[in-house]
This record gives sequence, C-alpha cells and structure tokens, in this order.
Amino acid sequence: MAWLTGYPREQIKWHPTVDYTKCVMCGMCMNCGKKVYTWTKKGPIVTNPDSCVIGCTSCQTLCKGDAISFPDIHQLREFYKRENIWAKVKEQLKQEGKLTPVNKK
Amino acid sequence: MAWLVDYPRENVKWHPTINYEKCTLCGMCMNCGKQVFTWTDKGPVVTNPNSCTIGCTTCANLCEGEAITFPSKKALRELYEKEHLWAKVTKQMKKDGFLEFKEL
Repeated sequence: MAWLTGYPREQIKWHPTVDYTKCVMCGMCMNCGKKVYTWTKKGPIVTNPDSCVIGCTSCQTLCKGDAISFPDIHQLREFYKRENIWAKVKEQLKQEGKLTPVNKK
Repeated sequence: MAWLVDYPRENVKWHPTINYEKCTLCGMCMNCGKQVFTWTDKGPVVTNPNSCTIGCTTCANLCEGEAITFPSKKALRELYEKEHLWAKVTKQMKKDGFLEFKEL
C-alpha cells in the first residue's frame, strides 16, 4: 500500500473511535469504502480498525452526531517524518510510474 | 452515491486546492483512490475536482508540505443540515441494506 510502503499497518494506531453517547445512528459511517464498521443494534462497531486508510477522517467529518474521533494527525505526521515514510512513498510511487509527468490538459 | 444520495455532486464545492509555494513534490496525493490529481512538470494538478469524495481530506492530512487545503468542514456540515442530506442518506442506506443489524 503506497500510503505506507513497507511499514506494517498493524503497528500504526489509526482508526476511528465511536462515542456512543453522541451517536445518533445516522449511518453515515457505513459509507466507508474499507468496511471498517459493522452495524449492530448498539450502533456502528469498529470491527476492522486496520482496514482504515491511514490519514482518512471522512467518517468523522460527516458523522451527524460528531461522535467519531481519530488519533492526533500531528502525531501521525511526526511518525511519517521519523520513519522516513514520505521518502519511501515517493520512491514507490516513482517505481509505479505515478510520478511521470503528464502534459496538463 | 450514498454520501450525497441524489444531491448533485457539482453543486457541492468539495475538492483540494494546492499551494504550489508549499508543495515539496512528495507525491503523496497521487495515492488518491479517485484520481483527482494529475502529475505534471509543475507538480500535481487537480484535474477531477468532482471525483473527490465528499468530506475526505486524506491527501491534505498526509501532504508533506502541508500544501493542500479544503473548504470548511463546518460549511459542508451546514449544507448537510440545510438540505436534509443526513436524513436522505439514512433512508438510502436502509434501502441498500447497510443498516441491517448484525450480531457480533
């Protein structure tokens, strides 16, 4: 996965946490394309935390009850810096041909 | 699209804007799953703004140079409120079977 290159996903704490006192069961989080959540009588449960896309907070942004939180983005960015992830990602993207300039339309 | 139901995507201003003075050409934004960006000699250009997933700011969150900005999340949430999009989404999700209770 190019957001992380070879770094093990399970070593990164990046997933939503639901505050059930705020959840209004709007169901917005069930739009997650990575199936991080399972819908239950209690509301959404984070059953696949490591499927969550690193840095993504879309479910939080659109949660009607403001019931979803994520770890601190600054800590995630510090981790990227410390582990040279940005440089590794760039290298991989180059290899995959994604950084080959295309003439602007 | 269930994030918006039938509300026209082009009526919602939600896409990244790049500050080229800050862009370090890290390439992180090219991981976007919706191919919003095209890589050029100048760096990334937002060529498909309306493919951007409503509410997503992943590219901005992980941009090395902090060169990407999005419209205000508050304004987006106000649109959801004003246009009753949350209620419509809930209804659509139910219809699509996403809100059937599962036992864990």
